[in-house]
Amino acid sequence: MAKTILIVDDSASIRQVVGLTLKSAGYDVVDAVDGKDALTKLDGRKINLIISDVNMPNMDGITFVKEMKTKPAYKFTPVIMLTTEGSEAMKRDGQAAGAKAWVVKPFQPAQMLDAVSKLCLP
Amino acid sequence: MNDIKVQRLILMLPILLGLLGAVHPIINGGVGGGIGGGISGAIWAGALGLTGIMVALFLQGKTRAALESARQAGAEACLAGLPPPRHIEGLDELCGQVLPIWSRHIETARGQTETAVTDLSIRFSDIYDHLGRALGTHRQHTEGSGNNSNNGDNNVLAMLSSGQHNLTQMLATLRAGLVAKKDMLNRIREVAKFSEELKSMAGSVSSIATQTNLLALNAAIEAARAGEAGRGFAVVADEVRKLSTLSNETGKQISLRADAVDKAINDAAQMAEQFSVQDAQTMQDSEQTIENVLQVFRGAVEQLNEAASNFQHEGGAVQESVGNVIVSLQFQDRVSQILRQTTGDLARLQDHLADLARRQALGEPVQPLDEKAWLDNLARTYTTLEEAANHQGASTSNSSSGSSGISFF
Repeated sequence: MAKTILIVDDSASIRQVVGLTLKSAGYDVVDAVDGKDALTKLDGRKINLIISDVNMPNMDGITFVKEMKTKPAYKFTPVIMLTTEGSEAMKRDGQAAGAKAWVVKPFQPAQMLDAVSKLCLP
Repeated sequence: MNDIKVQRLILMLPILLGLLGAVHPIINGGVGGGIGGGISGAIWAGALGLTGIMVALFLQGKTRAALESARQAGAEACLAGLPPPRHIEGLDELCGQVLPIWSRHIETARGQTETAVTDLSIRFSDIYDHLGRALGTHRQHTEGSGNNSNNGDNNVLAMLSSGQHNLTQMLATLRAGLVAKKDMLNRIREVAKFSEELKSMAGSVSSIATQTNLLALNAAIEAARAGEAGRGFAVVADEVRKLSTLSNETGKQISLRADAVDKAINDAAQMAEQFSVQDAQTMQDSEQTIENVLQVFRGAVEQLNEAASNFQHEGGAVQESVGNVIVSLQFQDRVSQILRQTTGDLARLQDHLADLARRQALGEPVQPLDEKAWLDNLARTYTTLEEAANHQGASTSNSSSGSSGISFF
C-alpha cells in the first residue's frame, strides 16, 4: 500500500511540483493550502509524512507544526519544512516546533525524495 | 515633507527597486534554465518576466524623477544664495497617490504571474501524467510479463516462432497425407497386377472350356458309334458340351470384365499419379509462401520494435524535460514572496506618510523618520537570500538557480 504524504503550501505551483515529484515515486498525496486547512486534513487518516511551507496566510507552518504535535494520532508524524526561508533562526524555530528536516526552495526532486525516504513512517 | 524625510525616503527606494529587480533574474534563471534554453521556454519565460521588468522600470523612472526634482530645487536655491528648501512641494501628495498605484501594479503583476505559473504547472503536470501513462501502457504491451525491455522483442519473436512452428507442423501433416496417397497408389498398382492374373485365369477357363467341348464332341461321336448302348452316354456328352460352351462364354465375360477393371484401375492410378505431382508442387509452393510471409512478418516486427524503442526513448526524454520545467516553476513562489514583501513595505510607507500628514494637520508633534529602524524592520521581514543580498546592494543574478540545501534535525 502506498504511503500518504500531506503537502501544505499556499502556492499552487509548489503543491503541483511537490505532488508530481512524490506521485512519480509512488507516494499518495493529500494537499492543503495553509496550516489551518492542513489541520482539517488530519482527520484520523493515515499520514506517513508532512511537507509544510513556513510563510502562509491564516496559519504559518511553524504554528501548524506546533498544533499538529498536540494531536495524539499525529504526534510522531515527521515533518519536513519546505520554504524560501534560509535563516538559522528560522531553522531553530522549526526544529523547536518539532520539524525533522529543513529544505530551502527551490528543491531538487532527488534530494526531496531522499529526505522523504529517510523520514517517512512505515 | 521636510528635506530629511525626503532624503530618507529616497534612501529606501533603491532597496525596493533592488527587490523588484531580483524578480527578473529569478524568472529567467528559474524557468529559462529549467527549459534548457528552448525556444518556447524562452518566449513564455520572457513574457512572465516582462511584467516584472515593466514595474521595475516604472519605479526606477519615478525615483529618478524624484531625485532630479530634489536636485534641481537644491541647485536653484544655491544659485539664488538661499538656504536649501525644507521640503519638496507636492511630494507628499505624490507619494500619497503614487504608492498605492505602485502597490496595485506590483500586486497585479504578482497575481498574473501566480495564476499563469499555476496554470502552467497544472498543464505540464497533465502532460507529464499523460506521457507517463502512454509510456507505461506501451511498456506493458511490449514487455508482457517480462522484467527487462528486451522481453518485448522476444515475446513478439516467440509469437512469430510459434506461428512458424504451427505452420511447419501443418506442412508435415500435409506431407504425411501425400505419403499415404503414394501408398494407396502402390496398392492400386498391385490391384492392377491382379487384374492381369484374372485375365489370364479367364483365358485359361476359355481354353479349358474349348478343350472340354472338343472332348464332349469326341465322346458324342464315340457314343453314336456304340449305338443303343451309347445313347445315355451321348446325352451326358451333349450336356458336357453345353456346359463347356457356357464356361467358354463365362471365361470371355470374365476376360471382358477384367479388361474393364484393368482399364479403370489404370485410369485411377494415372489420375492419382497426376494428383500426387500436383500435391507435391502445391506443398512446395505452400512452404515457399509461408517462408515469404514469415520473412515479411519478421521485417515488420523488426521495424515495429525499432519504432517502439525510439518512441520509448524520445517519450522518456520529453517526459523528463517536462518534469524539469515543472520543477523550474518553483521560481513563482520566490517571486511571489518578494513582491508581497515589497508591496507590504510600500503600504507601510504609505500609512506612515498618511499618519504624518494627519499629525501635521492636527498640529501634533511629528517625530523624525528613523530610517535605520525602518530598514532594520524591513530586513527582518525578508524570506529569501535575494532580498537580503539586495538590501546589502549585492548582485542577485543567479542566487535563486542553485540547488536547495537540506538540513536534518
